[in-house]
Amino acid sequence: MNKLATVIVNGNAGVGVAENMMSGLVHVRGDASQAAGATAHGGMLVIDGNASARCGISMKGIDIVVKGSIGHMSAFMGQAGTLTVLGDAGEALGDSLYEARLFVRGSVASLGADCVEKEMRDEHRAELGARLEAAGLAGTVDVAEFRRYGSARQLYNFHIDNVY
Amino acid sequence: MTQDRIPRPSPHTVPRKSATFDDYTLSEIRRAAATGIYDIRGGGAKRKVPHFDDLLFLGASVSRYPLEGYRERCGTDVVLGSRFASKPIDLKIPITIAGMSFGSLSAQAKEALGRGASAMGTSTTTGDGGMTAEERGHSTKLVYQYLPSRYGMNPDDLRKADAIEIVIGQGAKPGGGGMLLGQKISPRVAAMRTLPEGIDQRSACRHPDWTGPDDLEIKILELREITDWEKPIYVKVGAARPYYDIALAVKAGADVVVLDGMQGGTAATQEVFIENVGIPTLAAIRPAVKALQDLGMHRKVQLIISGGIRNGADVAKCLALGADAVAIGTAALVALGDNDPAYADDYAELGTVPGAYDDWHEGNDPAGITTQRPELAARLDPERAGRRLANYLSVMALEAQTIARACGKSHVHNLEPEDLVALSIEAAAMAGVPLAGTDWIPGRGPF
Amino acid sequence: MCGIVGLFIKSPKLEPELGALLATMLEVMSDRGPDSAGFAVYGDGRSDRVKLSLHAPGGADFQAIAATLEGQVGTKVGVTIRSSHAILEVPAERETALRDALGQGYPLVTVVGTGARMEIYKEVGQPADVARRFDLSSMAGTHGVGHTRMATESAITTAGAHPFSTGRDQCLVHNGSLSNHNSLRRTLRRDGVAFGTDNDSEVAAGYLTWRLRQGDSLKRALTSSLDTLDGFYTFVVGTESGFAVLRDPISCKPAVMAETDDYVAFGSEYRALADLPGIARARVWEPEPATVYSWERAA
Repeated sequence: MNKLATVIVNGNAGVGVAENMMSGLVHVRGDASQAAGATAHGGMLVIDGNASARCGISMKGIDIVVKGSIGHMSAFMGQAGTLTVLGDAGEALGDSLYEARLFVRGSVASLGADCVEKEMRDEHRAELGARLEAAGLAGTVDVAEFRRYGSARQLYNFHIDNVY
Repeated sequence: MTQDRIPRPSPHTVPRKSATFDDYTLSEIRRAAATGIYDIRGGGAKRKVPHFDDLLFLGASVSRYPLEGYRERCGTDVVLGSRFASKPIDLKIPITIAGMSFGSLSAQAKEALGRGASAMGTSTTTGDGGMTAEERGHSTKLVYQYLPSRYGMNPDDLRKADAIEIVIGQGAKPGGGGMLLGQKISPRVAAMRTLPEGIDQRSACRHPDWTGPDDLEIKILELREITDWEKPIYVKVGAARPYYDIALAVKAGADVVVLDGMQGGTAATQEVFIENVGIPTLAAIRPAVKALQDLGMHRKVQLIISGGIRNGADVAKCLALGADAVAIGTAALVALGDNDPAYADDYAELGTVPGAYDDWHEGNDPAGITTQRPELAARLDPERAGRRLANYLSVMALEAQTIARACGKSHVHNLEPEDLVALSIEAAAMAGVPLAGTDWIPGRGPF
Repeated sequence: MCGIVGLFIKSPKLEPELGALLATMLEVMSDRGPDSAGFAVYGDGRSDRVKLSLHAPGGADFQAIAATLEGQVGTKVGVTIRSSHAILEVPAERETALRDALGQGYPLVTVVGTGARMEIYKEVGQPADVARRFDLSSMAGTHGVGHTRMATESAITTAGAHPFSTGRDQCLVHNGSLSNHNSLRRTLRRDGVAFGTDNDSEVAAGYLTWRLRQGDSLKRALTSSLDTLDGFYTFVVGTESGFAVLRDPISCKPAVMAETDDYVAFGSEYRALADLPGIARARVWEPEPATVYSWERAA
């Protein structure tokens, strides 16, 4: 529930780092466990290492930048904000996604239900560039190497085909 | 043209319908076949289950004596959250308003709940979707729910609340998440929840960053730190395995536990879920109280019971079985005007009748309560509806007092299980009280 | 439902007559409680010795029991036998050993009270018979309480007769009926208070014992019982050096008190006090509701 503060973790972080953050910055210099940035409404979370499962679950406006890779079910039900991953994404990325925007440079093990790859237009490249810059990565990473994923918006209303 | 008729057998039997395949079941099969999706509705379990009607009080007579109605003191106040919180909640009556979200209810309905509860010196509760300025403004005591979805959850509103309720489940759907269909995701609701307008919202069934009592303990400490150890922390569970769930909530550090039976309502859930998951309120209380007693925490961690509480007798029975307070949801909505026969024509247009309307998720509530449509919501006058709720709460408190006095109690909390008997073997076994006229408690030895 | 009496002697010259006065008071209250009767008397005692009041249903050969116990406990055991009861007296530090040996060897014998000075006797039957059987009128002491019982919701047994003693030199008699004793008993049991019956009055005794154990004075303990005990009650309570009376805030049950320079007396009805010496000049009053009256002997 961080608000305004800048928090730097000189090492690894446990479950739910920066959970429900409102604003400010949380910077993890090592790896992060599950549910990093869960339900966070704003601010920025930077993880220098890897993040485990459910990174950005139910995110509501936070910007997350993971320099390593992320685990399964990341950005599950993500509502708003951005999740930028320099490494790879695990299974079921962006399942039941709402309007959160996902940028992944490496491979994606699988996409979750209703998550699709979307075209990278200039506005998205600009947005991604701004996030990378905010994470102190300006000039070190090429935005052209990223692919964008978002909601297909097919789950937005109940329909027989949405039920498993 | 004449047509040959199939000859009727004579003598014939009257048409006989199946008890298994009754009219409702048949209609549901046809509905499912036509639409291909399960039925979603509001409210709680509608099936008949053993309930408080199956219990009776033993009034005082020769072996003990009653108190004079209206004259001799019979207290109804209750303090919630005295275990760890530095600012526990002091209620004048042991009846609170359960969590119902702005979104599932109109802003007018939320305001009316706040007005009615405040007038009677009791609390109301937010819901899945955050705190509105209106309900904070009109509720002298407001409990802020902390749900898996975390819609609108922020530290500022946490600090504005008088207590925090961590919701793990509810009686209508223990193990299920919230639901709010698109008809009710108005621009304001959408903005509060960070969701696109008009979509069908389904919330998570688990908290995203913790599961189970070991992680919950950490979460409770986090919430206490944010609120400077001032606010009582409630933990709400749906009734399924109350002995273990209550014991674990206490071990995780709860100040208050809220236990919601299967008759407890919901804004929208699958009918099959509502009717087939969870246990009746009556069956849930004694195991919960036993858990508190076994931990030496009975009356130290307060127990709030909800799910099908309708009148002062229900309140008194909950307290006698060991609860500290009750919460009402559906009954409060009815007091505001839900399912009122005055709107019979409107209900008919929706294909239903007053008393049966449960399509709360569709947002077409003629009474203007479970809707976000401005023209319908405007039908509810928050001041008048608030007064109706206050009247109803007052009657419930007076009824509970009447019963307590008849049993010789100077405070409603001095009612005991030993003041009760049961009318059915089922209720006797569930409530752990003797069958009326006997000293037999099914499932227990003679002594 | 019950009759209660109590007598607290202020003038030592009356101490030899305590039993005789109490016996008359008790007998007068027979109509109010024909099921059983009992009394506690605070007589001689030494702080380094302890008296156990024992009851054996139908009586027992207490001399033989005491002889056997002496061997097991390793000290001389004083014995005073009165009908179905006996008082065993040992040095205070041998109490636990005596109780253990009793419990193992004689499970049917129950300890109805323990203390340096207090002795308790109670039995099923007409109060006058009970007083006679135990020879109450021969007993001397500083104070005593008595009770005649008309049972309400619990069994007519010796164990269910008053006084109830749940702590050292503490006893209580009760007239009325408590309405929250079941819940309170469950709570007190958790806190280590032992109960031998399902009687409501024993819960009141247990509650006071628990408060006294927390360090409360008798007066404070009784004051707190006004918030905790629900229902109707008039209590007369004895401790090693004190005597107290409390009525519930509604006070339906009758109570009358009398005080002279020589004594303080309590009775459910005035007729229980009518034969006391000097009663005609005594200050006689009805105790106020929710008010603790207590007297303490100088140590």
